[in-house]
Amino acid sequence: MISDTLLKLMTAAVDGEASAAGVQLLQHALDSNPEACTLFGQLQLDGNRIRALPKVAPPAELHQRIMELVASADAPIADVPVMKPIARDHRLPTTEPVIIPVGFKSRRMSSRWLPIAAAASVLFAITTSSFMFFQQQLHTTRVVKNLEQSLTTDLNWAKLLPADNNGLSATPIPHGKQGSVDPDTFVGPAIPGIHATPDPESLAIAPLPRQLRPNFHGAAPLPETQFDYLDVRVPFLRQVAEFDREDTREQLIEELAFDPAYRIDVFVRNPTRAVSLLRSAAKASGVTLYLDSNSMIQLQKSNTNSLVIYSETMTPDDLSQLFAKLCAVDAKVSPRVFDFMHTMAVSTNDAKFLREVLGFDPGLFKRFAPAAGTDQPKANGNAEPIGAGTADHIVKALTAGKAKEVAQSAILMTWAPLSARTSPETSAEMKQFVAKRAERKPNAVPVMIVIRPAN
Amino acid sequence: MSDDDRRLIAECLAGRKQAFGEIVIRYQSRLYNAAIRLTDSPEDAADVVQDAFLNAYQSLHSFKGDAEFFTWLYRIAFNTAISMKRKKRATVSLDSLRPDGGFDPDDPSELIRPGVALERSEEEQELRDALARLSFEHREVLVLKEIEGMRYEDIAELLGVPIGTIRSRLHRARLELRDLLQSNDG
Repeated sequence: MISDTLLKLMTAAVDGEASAAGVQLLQHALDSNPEACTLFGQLQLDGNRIRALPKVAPPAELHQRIMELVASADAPIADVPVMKPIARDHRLPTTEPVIIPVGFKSRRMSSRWLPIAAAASVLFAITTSSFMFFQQQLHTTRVVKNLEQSLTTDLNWAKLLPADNNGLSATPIPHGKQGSVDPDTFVGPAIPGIHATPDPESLAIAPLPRQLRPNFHGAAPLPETQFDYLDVRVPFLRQVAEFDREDTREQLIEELAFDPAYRIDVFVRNPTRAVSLLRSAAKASGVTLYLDSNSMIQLQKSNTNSLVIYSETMTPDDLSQLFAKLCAVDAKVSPRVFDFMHTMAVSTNDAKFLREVLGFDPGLFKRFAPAAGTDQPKANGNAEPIGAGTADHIVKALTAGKAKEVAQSAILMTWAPLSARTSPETSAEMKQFVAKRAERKPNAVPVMIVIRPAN
Repeated sequence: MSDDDRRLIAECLAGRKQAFGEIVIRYQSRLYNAAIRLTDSPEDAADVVQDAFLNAYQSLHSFKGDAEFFTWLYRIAFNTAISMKRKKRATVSLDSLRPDGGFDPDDPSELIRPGVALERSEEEQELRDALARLSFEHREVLVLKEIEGMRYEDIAELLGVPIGTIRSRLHRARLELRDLLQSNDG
């Protein structure tokens, strides 16, 4: 009896691809197993027989036939953009360069018109921009003229305007010192609410854009603008490789605390390998990742390179850990597959597209409602005193909750293009994912991870 | 890629069709021999080679030179062979065309070549029959491995599948071929 492992070792050795250790192991096995030794000899003989098959000369007229076809075919053009290989067979994703019938003749014809088209475009652009520029100038002149006219009739403005400058100050006017203008003569930018109920006594105007100063360096400095509090939120953009650092993981956790749901764009160099690594990382993080089989086929056929993973069971900590695992598995391959990741709040458009992909409304913007029995502390001060067994009850409740904790899961589907998307009703994996859905945990963050090509 | 290939391709792209003729002379025999093992029919093999060269000529500008020219040509030929196989399967069985299971002797190049008797020997015929009965997937990896002497990595790149798949296909192909040959012997 020959084991399967030994058979594999034998065929690898016949292929000449067995490692040194494998060859040693095989030698030892062959010495002790005559049946295996016979089979190995036969396999080697089969290989030799195939190699020994005599070469067959091609038909004499083959060359002529080919050259006749070539002569009647369009000549290849050196500067034509590279065609994208399209696979016709899922087993052969990018092996066949398909001739796209673009028609070289039409290309050459269009190239004659190219200079004329370019010149026409430039002329059109210049004409349009000139027209817009002069229109803008006319409008500004009219506004300034009207405003100056109104200022001459309102002496209050004299207190606000700088004495040595004819232009208007760009400094925002303090609310209490706002002047008024005559609404009949005022032609300025529309201010919401003002035109609806014009009040000639208290009509405020926004300052005009700052005027260009001929002597910029010699001009008096503008007054400083004071801010009591300034909160600037910059986009969270990190390399996946940075997630081996504690500070990056903490920053992601902080970032995921702002909005009800997130979209994380992960840029990858090879989507197919990225999915494989993501699967490993998810497994290591205890997340069940359902891969839509049709999406995987589309991926193998190179019909898609944008995929989306949706999960609503992971907390910011879990997501941070997932990226840490992803970083770890990615570090094992060279070159790295994952590039940057970009986190942002889910937009309404994203939510709409996600609904289409999933086939149900995941309720991304729903806020968590506290479950019955976990009410907020009463505001009227009638809170009951904590009894002696309360702590025990809390511990018991938390332990029981852990035991019933919903398993973390995520679903992977095609994101783009639309034509390659799977209909969610037909996806068995989607049905499994939906069947496993449960009440969202209070600290869980719905997240859509969009896997996109890096370039 | 060899300098000669590079030069011939450049000349061809510059509009010299004779340069492509030289490429055809250089590779047609090798390509034809691989194709004949895949299709098991001289006519089909000739058609595969012809279509492959025509496709290669028309998309020569897309060849970037990052792989061997022959590998690229092979890829085209393989896909042409697969397409042809599918079309044939949809119309008529290959075996019904060849009751004797051998190559069509219409090809004069075969008749005048020395060693025809040896090629027609029973043992070879047996091997050809066994190869023809293998699935296309198994046959293609055996051809690439044994006739072209390619490594797992090269075959994987050529067919666009992981190395592990190639390893297991070859493993199954060898065992299947052995079974077929053994059953014939029995």
